[in-house]
Amino acid sequence: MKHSSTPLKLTALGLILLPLVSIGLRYHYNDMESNPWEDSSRYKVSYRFTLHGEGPYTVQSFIPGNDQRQQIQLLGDTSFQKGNSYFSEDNHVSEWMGNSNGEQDILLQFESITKSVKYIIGDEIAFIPGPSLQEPTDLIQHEAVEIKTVADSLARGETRYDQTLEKVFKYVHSIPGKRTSELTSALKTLREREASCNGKSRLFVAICRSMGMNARMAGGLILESTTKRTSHAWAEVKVAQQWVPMDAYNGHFASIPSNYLKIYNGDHFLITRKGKQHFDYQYDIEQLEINALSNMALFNIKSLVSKAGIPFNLLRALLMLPLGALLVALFKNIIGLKSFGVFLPVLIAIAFTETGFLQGVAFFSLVVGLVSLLSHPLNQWGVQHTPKIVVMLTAVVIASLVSVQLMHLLGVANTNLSLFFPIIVLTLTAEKFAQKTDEEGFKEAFVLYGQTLLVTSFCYLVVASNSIFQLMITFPEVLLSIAGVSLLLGKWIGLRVLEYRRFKFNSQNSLSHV
Amino acid sequence: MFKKIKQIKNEFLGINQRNVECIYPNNPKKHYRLADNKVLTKKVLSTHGIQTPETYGIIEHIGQIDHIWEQVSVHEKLVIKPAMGRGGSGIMILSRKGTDWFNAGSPINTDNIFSHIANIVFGLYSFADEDCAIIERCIIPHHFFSELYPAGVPDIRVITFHSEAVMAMLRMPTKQSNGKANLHQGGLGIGVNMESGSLLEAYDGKTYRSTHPDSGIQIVDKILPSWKEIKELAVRTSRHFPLKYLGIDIVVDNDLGPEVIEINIRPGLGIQLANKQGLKSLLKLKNIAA
Repeated sequence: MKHSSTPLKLTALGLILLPLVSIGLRYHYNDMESNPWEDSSRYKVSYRFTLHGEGPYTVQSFIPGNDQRQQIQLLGDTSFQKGNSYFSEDNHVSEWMGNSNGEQDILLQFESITKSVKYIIGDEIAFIPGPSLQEPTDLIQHEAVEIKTVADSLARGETRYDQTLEKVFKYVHSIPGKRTSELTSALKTLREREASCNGKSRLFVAICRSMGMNARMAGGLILESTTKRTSHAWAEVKVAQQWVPMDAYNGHFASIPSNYLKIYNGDHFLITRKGKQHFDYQYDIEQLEINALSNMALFNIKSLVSKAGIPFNLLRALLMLPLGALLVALFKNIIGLKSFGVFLPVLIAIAFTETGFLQGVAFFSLVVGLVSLLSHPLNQWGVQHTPKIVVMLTAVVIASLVSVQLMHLLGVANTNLSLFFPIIVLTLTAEKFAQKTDEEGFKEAFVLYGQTLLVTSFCYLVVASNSIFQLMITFPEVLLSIAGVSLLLGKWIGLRVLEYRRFKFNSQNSLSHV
Repeated sequence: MFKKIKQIKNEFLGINQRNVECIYPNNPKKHYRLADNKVLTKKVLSTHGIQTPETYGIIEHIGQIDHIWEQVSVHEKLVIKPAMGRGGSGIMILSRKGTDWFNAGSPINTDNIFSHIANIVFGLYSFADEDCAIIERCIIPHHFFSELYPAGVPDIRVITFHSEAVMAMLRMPTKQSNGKANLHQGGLGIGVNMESGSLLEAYDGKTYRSTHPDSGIQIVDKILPSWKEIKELAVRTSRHFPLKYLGIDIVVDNDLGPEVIEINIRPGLGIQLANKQGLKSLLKLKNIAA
């Protein structure tokens, strides 16, 4: 009996093409704000200032500008709402002046789209120490002996710009942070070895300046759906005509997350004012949907997330599961690499996104090692399969608890890390490993372990990719295409890559033999 | 380089094609159990008068052990094996001298034999909830084989496709394979000329050799005993199963001649290496005929 493969091919083609058509239509009928695969975010920000008391006043603040990574659109119609705006140095200043008769509200609103950016500093850029290019200030005292001493010791022997910057960054990053917005100078930060974001950033700028680098302060808001009063400050270093962001407080080297809104350049305050009134302020921030391309979307996952409150990690795991499984299938049927189960490498990869890749690999190896240690005596004693697995799982759970405790004591891992999922996944792996050891022996099981690790690493690259996740969450119809591709793969009858190697030796021989 | 790749591609059957074009269309899943469970396999075989080692007893529950053991222990040699075991695990070969039993030369008491049977019934060797223990006649390999290498039981794997014997391989145990004849356990795979039954070079997983690695005795060009009967037995067997792509394992007993010991629904592809020949063209010819 021979089955016709035409219905299958048509189904597969339909599954692959339909989502592409849908994506095309949605792309066409929506106003694209930015690329769907980019990690970007959209917020509505409101500055709310209130003056209590009578008399003349002046309030100044900054309005963020447009650049490659952020786009701003001011809201509000009246000129009072926008303030009297002018440019000062690199910054866009808004100023409100008037005479208050008791209570005066000022409301400035804008929408922003911000992207995450990572800079790569070329290793060919040389570091040549030189005299400072800028004048010291009261808060950035880069000519102070203490700062010069630190800068000199950090710069000693360095010839590359990237490595020097990394050293300075690590030094400042290692200083404990304090969650306040209190004004701290560079020198004070160095002396007290504890500081807020502005103190650490000033110290970073001071050390850079002291080495002859061109560095400056930058300020803005970390955007999240909340009402807050704290602004944020970080540093920027000019590398090859480009200002590169450095946040030694939150640990972003040459990169800036998508929810950072830059409002001004230089060492300023976000608000300055004149007047005798009592002054109150807050920033209302609200996240808006981005890249949902919601027109014509049959299934809008982004709104589902915000409305139903599905945990983001869960959604990520769900959306990435089929794609990861397809990757495993490709590795198996086209290359010939085997792995523990079909879903296990994907699940392990997802678990790795929670534990971190290296810790995950270490944990995974620990589990496999433990199981192989235990399986020898258990087999020797002739313990049956199912109870044996229970013994092994128990051991894995105990080992997991001990290592979590150890990591906590050593301070290596974040303690509020969700380890529940990784532990479940790894115990499942332990079962598969034990079964393989029983069926085919240690050697085969270890080969399989190695191949699983390889496949898992590739899955990790896909599962941990933010761009792919952004794409999946915007266009969930891609899931159908994955099913379509899998259908075709299921009917593919070519030799697996590793089979070529298996039969290679033989075919050479057969030539001489015949 | 490119030519070689093309040659491999044209000649050899890979796992993907084996699954999609040989197994799925020819071996319906509902009949898998006829191959996976040796009790059922032997039932089909004996119904149609196909030679298979005589079954002395089948133990399905632990309660039957005492009773059945009493019946079977009259035999001087016997084999205990799980009905659904894989890769030769759980097989125990016993011989009796007077009232004492021996397992591979060393004495064994009946308590140990009983607990082995109980383990089989509990599914220890089959990754299932329960299994049956088959107690059957112990094969004495034809002297042709014991002259090549005295230990273990060699068997002949014949691939049948729509009731035609397509390719065959003699599987010989070695010191390294510990009495087992499977290729991936260190046994030898020796290609067989389908017409004459003469042996080709022995493949040990890495290289080809003309002699047995342990005994040093010449293998190449020796002719298998009862080759015609073996081939005929394979074809006859395949006719009585609703499974049209099979690997049939046959042993040659010194007294009783060829007997079928088991059938496989997913026969391995290493047989192509043993024969230095791809299955693809052989099966394709059959495909067109069918």
